[in-house]
Amino acid sequence: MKTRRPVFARVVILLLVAMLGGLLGGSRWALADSSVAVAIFGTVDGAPEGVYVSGVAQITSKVMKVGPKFNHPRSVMLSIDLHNVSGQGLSTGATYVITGQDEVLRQLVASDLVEITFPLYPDEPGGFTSARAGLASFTLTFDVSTGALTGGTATVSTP
Amino acid sequence: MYLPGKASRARVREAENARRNRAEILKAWSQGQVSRRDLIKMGLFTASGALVLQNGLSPFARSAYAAIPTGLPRSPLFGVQAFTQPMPRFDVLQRNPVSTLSPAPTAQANTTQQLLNTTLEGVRPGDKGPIEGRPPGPIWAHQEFTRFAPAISIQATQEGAKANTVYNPGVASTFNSGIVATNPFPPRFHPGLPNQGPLALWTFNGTLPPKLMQVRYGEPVLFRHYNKLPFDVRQNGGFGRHTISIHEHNGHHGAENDGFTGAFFFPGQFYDYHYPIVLAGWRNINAAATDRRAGGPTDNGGINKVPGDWHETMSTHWFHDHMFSFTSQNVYKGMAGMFNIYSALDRGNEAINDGVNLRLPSGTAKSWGNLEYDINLILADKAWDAQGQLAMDIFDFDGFLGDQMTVNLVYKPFFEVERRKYRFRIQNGAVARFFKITLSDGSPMIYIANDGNLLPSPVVATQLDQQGIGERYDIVIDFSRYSVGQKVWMVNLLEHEDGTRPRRTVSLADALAGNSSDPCVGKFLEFRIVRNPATPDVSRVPAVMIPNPDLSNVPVARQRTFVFGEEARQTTNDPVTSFRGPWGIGTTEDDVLAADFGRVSAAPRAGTREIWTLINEEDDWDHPIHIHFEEGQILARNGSASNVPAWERGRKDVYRLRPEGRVTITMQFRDFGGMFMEHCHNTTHEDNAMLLRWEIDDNGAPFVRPLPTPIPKPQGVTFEPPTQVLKNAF
Repeated sequence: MKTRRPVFARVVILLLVAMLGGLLGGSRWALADSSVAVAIFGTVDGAPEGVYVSGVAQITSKVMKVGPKFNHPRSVMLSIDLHNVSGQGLSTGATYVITGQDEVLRQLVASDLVEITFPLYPDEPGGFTSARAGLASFTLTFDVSTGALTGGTATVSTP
Repeated sequence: MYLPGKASRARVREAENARRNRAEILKAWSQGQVSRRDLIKMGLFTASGALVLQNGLSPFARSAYAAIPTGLPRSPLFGVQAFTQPMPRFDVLQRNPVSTLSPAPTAQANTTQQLLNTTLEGVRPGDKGPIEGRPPGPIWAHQEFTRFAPAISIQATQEGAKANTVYNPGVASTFNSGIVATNPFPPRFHPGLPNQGPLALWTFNGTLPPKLMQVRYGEPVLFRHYNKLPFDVRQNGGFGRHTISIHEHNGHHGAENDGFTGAFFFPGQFYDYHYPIVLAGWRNINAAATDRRAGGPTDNGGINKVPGDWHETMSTHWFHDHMFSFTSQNVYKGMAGMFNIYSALDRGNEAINDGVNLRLPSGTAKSWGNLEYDINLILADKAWDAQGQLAMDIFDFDGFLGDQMTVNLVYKPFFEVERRKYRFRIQNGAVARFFKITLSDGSPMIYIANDGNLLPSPVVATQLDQQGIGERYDIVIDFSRYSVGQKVWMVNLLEHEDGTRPRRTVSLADALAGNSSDPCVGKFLEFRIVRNPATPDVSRVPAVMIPNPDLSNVPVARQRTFVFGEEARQTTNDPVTSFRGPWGIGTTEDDVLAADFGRVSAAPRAGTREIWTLINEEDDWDHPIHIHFEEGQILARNGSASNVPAWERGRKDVYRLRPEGRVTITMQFRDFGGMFMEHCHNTTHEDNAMLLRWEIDDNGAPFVRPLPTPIPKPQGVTFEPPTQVLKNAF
């Protein structure tokens, strides 16, 4: 018995440490950044030609912790990167550059419709001066218990 | 923060009562009759500096009428509709020969004595004091006053609101939405709103619109600022302090001209600020002034070459009060203007094609400084009381928010434009509000500058990044995509619930539909496309503008860390220099200190380069941090260079940290010396102790380390040794 007690105590301590670690570590994990790659496509209408936009949007979500002082709802900062998205002119076949990079602050909900506008312009010298706008609509899903971004779908249209 | 627009009468009455109850305390505090310590003793403040949650006193106390915090009553609009008044262009301050100044400016402060008004605090009958409020003696003498002798003078007063009878928009009425500048311009936010009284609004020259200084490299300026505010500190309309100090944000000038928070001056005095308008690095780089890219515009379309690094060219500054513990109140009360710097690269003339001029949208009539298509915008949320007078809750330590959007200090105006490119220099002049700007149709805008520094390359965006208090974004909008008769609006997408930080980005559709509890979300400026340009638009947005200075051969002398947080310790008790508040800044991660402008927290050596890491240790706050005097380059956000967005890859002087964020920057310290500041530009946070002093002591004579602290009094400025020198400062 005497030899077992320390072992038992050690196990209890380890369990307590593990539980505490789980609590602390769990909250840390729960607040970790999460990221998804979302296929995105659609057409932006308008002059001089319609542009078919396609590619992969990278969305990173950071859960904004809420301090004890306020009763603020939990929220996430979404970084939306459209650098791996490009466009093709429907008439000319010309390549269009998409330079969308944006950050939006949203309340944490299970499913959120997030819309951002983005610029697109012909891939040619000075093309940026004739930029037009597209609209990217993301339906993003979150695990509201951990705050993790779990998936999403996206479409492109004319704003 | 806000009462809903449809709040019950009882709820509004309750909030109004709370406001009235607070008014007496607010008045006593703003006038210095009670200290924060007294209020804590009286049980009205918590030890951390927040107003106790007592119903009928605090706007954050639980209401009997709703489960959400009560707010201030909405500012009454007196039936006024948005977009029914033209947006006034800034009022350009007159540039005069230095010889028009009387008395003539002096290198050291002019200590000629004058009889003092006995209404000033601490003044007895017969007391005399200096006519200039600048600290006397060699330490506060204008640095390089002979080398950069003032070539022009600009004068302004600070005084209570009155009609403007000398409005100079710098453009014809057709470029000012039809405003006839010769008509008196009343001090009001809208023709349908009451005039502001002289105690409610304190502006430069006492008038609207806000003021603009136009300066150019190679033409040093002497700005003489007269304090004509009431002698009686109690005559402040409930908020605002009659002692002032003007900061030319982010001028590369000696510290005596920086508007140091403790170098304030009194009613009846003036302060001479000497702005050399030089390129950083002038001692060592391009010292012979041979590079055409380093220069200022001449009156005949040429370039006045100056020494210094052309990569350090700056464009859009602003100037505002920096009174210790009262900056938020004074800036909110109207003490803010803008400051356009013209250079060889950024000429303010879009037609001059000499291979140097970037030809940004501006105009062509003058050789430099054309304003027809170069528009200053200062955005600020305001609130007013039942009588329509400007109102502020100085007990809101999270950061005060207004519920009405103003542009150039008028309520939601319209602005007439031609079908062509325009440059907008957008200044966030709010107390605690961040903005996120887009156009109502989502059309692209082009960032060309961030914090007054032209970017290496333009960046196209349809929604600008968050814009913190004090930040400037220069953008180009091309209205040629619209037809005459069309309208498009500037829209704010960023929703606040309080002054802690923004809470939500609203989609454009929701912002336009009014689906936000924040009345400052949505359209705030209407553009009316009224005509085709009379002459073709020859302006350009070049693909390359100003590459960053190359620092690869400049060794890093030191790395420092600054931590921005709450529950700061106050280690000093000087009644003039220290201030206890909920906020503070630490130079180590475990010791956040409340503000004391007598404390030296950092002292970089002249001529060196350092790397500073700015850390927001709070999870529910954001802090836009401003470092005076030197531009920085952001090396990393949260430890990674890839986190730095394209529009932040130029030079900056305000760094939004983001909740629990950290920003690593590099700066050089050169050309001038003295004591400067670093602080949160949420001016509520700044005033409540999130501010520190740093200094450069060894930039030539006199070499004093550490510098003595100025203690201004009407009878003259005295000096004290620093209250504390942090052990890691030097």
